[in-house]
Formats: sequence, structure tokens, C-alpha cells
Amino acid sequence: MKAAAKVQNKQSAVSANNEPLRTLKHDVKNQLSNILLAIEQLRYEIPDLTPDCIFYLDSISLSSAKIDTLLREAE
Amino acid sequence: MKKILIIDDEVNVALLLSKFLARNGFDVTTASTGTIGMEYLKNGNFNLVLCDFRLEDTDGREMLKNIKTQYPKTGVIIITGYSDIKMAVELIKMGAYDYITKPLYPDEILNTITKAIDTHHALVEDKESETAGYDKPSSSSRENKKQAFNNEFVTGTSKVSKELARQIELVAPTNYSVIILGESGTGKESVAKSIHLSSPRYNQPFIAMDCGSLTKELAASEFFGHEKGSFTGALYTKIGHFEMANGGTLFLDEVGNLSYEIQAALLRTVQERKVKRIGSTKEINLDVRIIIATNENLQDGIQKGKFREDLYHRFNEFSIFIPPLRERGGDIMLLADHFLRMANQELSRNVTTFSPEVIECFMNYRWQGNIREMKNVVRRATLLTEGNEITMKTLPLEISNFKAPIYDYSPVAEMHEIRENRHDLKNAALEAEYETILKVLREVNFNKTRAAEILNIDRKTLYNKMKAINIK
Repeated sequence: MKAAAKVQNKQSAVSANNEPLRTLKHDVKNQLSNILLAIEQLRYEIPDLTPDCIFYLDSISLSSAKIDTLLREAE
Repeated sequence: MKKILIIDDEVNVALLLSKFLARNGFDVTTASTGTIGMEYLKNGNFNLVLCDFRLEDTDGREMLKNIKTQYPKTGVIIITGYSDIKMAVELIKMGAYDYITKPLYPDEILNTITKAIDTHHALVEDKESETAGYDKPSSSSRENKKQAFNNEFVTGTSKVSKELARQIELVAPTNYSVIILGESGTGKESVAKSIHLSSPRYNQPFIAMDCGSLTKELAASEFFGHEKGSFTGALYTKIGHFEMANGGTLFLDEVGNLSYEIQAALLRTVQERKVKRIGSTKEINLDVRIIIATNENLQDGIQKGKFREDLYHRFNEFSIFIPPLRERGGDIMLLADHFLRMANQELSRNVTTFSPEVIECFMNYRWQGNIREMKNVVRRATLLTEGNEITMKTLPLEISNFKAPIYDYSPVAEMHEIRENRHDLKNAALEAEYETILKVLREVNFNKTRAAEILNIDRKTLYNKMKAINIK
């Protein structure tokens, strides 16, 4: 019983330590949503995108997706 | 126009999402707190609520509970920045349609919303909700849907595709139950939808249900629905998929995965053409056409006692086999061109062709994931292409590096000798072994580990046998 309680305490401690990181990930993901949705809107609102513009928007999309992957891998 | 309520305290997310959804034909309202959201729900008949899990004044769990108690026919999708499987399962059990983790990818969320609204349509069409005041889908919107699907559905030009189209045309106008057989990714659901849209039921609901992901506990409630309070956790009345599909078509995917008990209940419902929600005494008459799909051999399932024979025969009024893509050589580039057009539209690109090397590679590749795999490969390549031609460097490595295995398929001299001496029992056994091993090897694209598993021998034995019977 004592051992089980010890393990549980340890788990709660780990979880408490992880909480700031979890909140940080949550907030970063919120901002990533804004970036991805804003890019989608830009693609729609700018009528004739130049190839350069498309490249910039694609780069932002791909980098956002990469940040998301990094966050998921860190979970 | 379908009405969506977004509840999110992140004002920018709510605003951007509402603009995106409005552009895609939805009537969107936003609320920054749970209380304001509930106020809006009181005054408007929303088809769907997108609710952030963490709100200033409450949380997604509470909101879901309140919405499902007060507005059981409004769909709810929970959005959150936390990915927590336990929470996702809990919310879905409580009645959420889905649980989406941030960041929100526009295509992904639009897809989920469309599916949720389609399911909701079926709920709305239920007679009991006639007085609820939702938008009824007009017959013209059904026609539009049919047209949209026809634009997406490609009929191949190969002999097997023509035969497939002929079978669909033949069975569609009837009321026959249909079994669709085919490997994963061959387009079983598309064929089922095509049958539905070519049938007299086309302006009635088409409900697709993935039986592969159903747990034993959830299955009964998903199929037959339940009454509020009929068991712990039944916080609201739920309409089952049979009722949703009433008048239309119910498509059951991966039916081989259903438990034996659920199969018995399913058989009763199909035979009696009546359904009773869990916890209810009222029987509801059903007029549902059933189409099932599987990539497993149901006959094997019957022999092993996993699938009920009576249920199999009940469903097997007509069966359609969709051949794998690798056996539809003539269709490969037709489909690739079609997916290229779709990807251009989706990504606002203007990629027009495939390079000759890509065409050759596509024709030789095994396409284990079939049409689904090809669609993803073409989408990816379109995204990565800078000019107007898809080249080898935009293909995933497993495809660009793929080399068709060169095996000696023709019977070798020894096999001729064996065949010539058919009455020798030892030779007959050898010949049977040869045929079986070669057949399995071809099926698994000469993956020897997989072949050994299927043949139920170890890999070393397989190598020895291949050597002995001269399969190179």
C-alpha cells in the first residue's frame, strides 16, 4: 500500500511539474490556429497571388505544421 | 443555410474561424463565454456548436452536458489545445460528435463539420423533429449533393472498372442488400454511395457507420439509440443509426469486426424491420436498405465462428468485388489525373502533367493502400511541385525507390517434370505447395516475412521451400 501511495505521489509530482509545459503547449497551439486560419483567409482575399507570395504563404503553413509536429513529439 | 455557433474565449480564433466557415456557406455566430453561448442557443436553432474546452466561466464538459440536456439534436464538436485521449473518449461517450485538437487545420475542421452536419441532417429528418424548426434539406440541395458526388466519382475505363460500373447500375434500383468486398482503400464507401445515389432512395439519408472502431459497449447504442436515463451516462435521448437512415441507406463498414452479440441483435432488427431504442418499449418501423463492406473474408469468419452465417446470407443478396488498384492498370493514370485536378482546386495550383518517369513509376508501383494511397501521393506531390509538372523528387521515397521485384513466375523445368507426373502423390503435394506459396507471395508483394506469417511457417522454412521448388 505504501509503495502504491509513493508511486501515486511521484506521478502527481511529475504531473505538477509538467503543468506549466502543458499550458505553454496549449497556448502555442492556440496561436498556431490563428496563423493557419489567417493564411487560409489571405489565400482567399488576395486575388492574384504571385508565385513568391504563394511560396511565402506555403512556407508559413509548412513551418506552422512543423511546430505542431514538434509539440506533438514532445508529448 | 446551416447554423453554427462558435464558443471560444480566444477572440481571434473565433473570428478567423467564423470568416472561414461563412466563406464555406455556413451561418456563423460567435460567443466568447459559455453563458453567452447558452443565451444564443436559447434564441436560435443551431445545427452545430463548436465549443472550446477551456472557457473563462466554464469548461467544455459542462457545456456539452448542458447542450445535450437542453438541445439534444444540436451537434457538438469540442475544440481543445490539450490532446488527452481519456478526455476525448469521455466527451464522445457524453455525446460530442468529435474532439478536435488545436491547431485547427482549415481543411480538417471543414471536413469534420460537414460530416457532423450530414449526420445532423439525418436527425433533423426524423419525424419527431419536424416541429423543432430546423432547416429542412430541400430536394434541390439533395440534387446538388448528387451532382457534387458524381463529379467526384470516377468510372475507370479498364475492363474490371466497366464491369464494376455495370454491377452498380444493375443493383442500384433494387432494394437488395449488398456486400462490397475489396482491400482497404479501394473505394468501398464511394461505391456504396454511388449505389445509394443511383437508387430511388437518393433523396433520403445515406448513413455510413464504421463498425471497426465500435467498442462492444457503444455498439448497441450506436445502432439502435437509447432513451435518456436508460443506463448510467445516458444523459440524453440518442437516435441510433438505423433510425437516422430510415427511408434511405445504411452503410456498415468493416462489419466483420462486430461482436457476436451485436450480430444477433442486428439480425433481429434486419429481419423484423423494426427497431427499439435501448430503454424504450416503442417499436419504430424501418425501411432501410443495408450495404455492408469488408476487407476480410467473411466466409473464413463464418468457419471460425466469428461471423454469423444467417446474418451473412441475409446481407448477401448481391455482392460486388472491387479489384485492387494494381489490377486496374488502365485506370491508374485516369485516377491520377482526376486527383491532380482535385488537388489543384484544393490548393489553388496549376499543375498540369506528370513526368514520363512518374507515369512509369505509377504504373509499376504496387499501390498496397490502393486509391486512398494514390490520392494522398498526388496531393502531396501537387503541394511540393513548383512548376506545372510533377516530377520524381516530389514522390515519397517508398514510391520513387520502388523497384518491381523480378521473379521467375514461369514454372521451371522441375515443375514441368512434376506436372507431367501428376499421379505421383509426392509430386501432387509439391505442386500444391508451389502454387500456394507463389499465390501468397504475389498477394503480399513478395514480402517474405508477411508470406511466412500467412502460410503459418517460419521465414527460414519459407526460404528453404522457395529454394527447393525453385522460386527465385
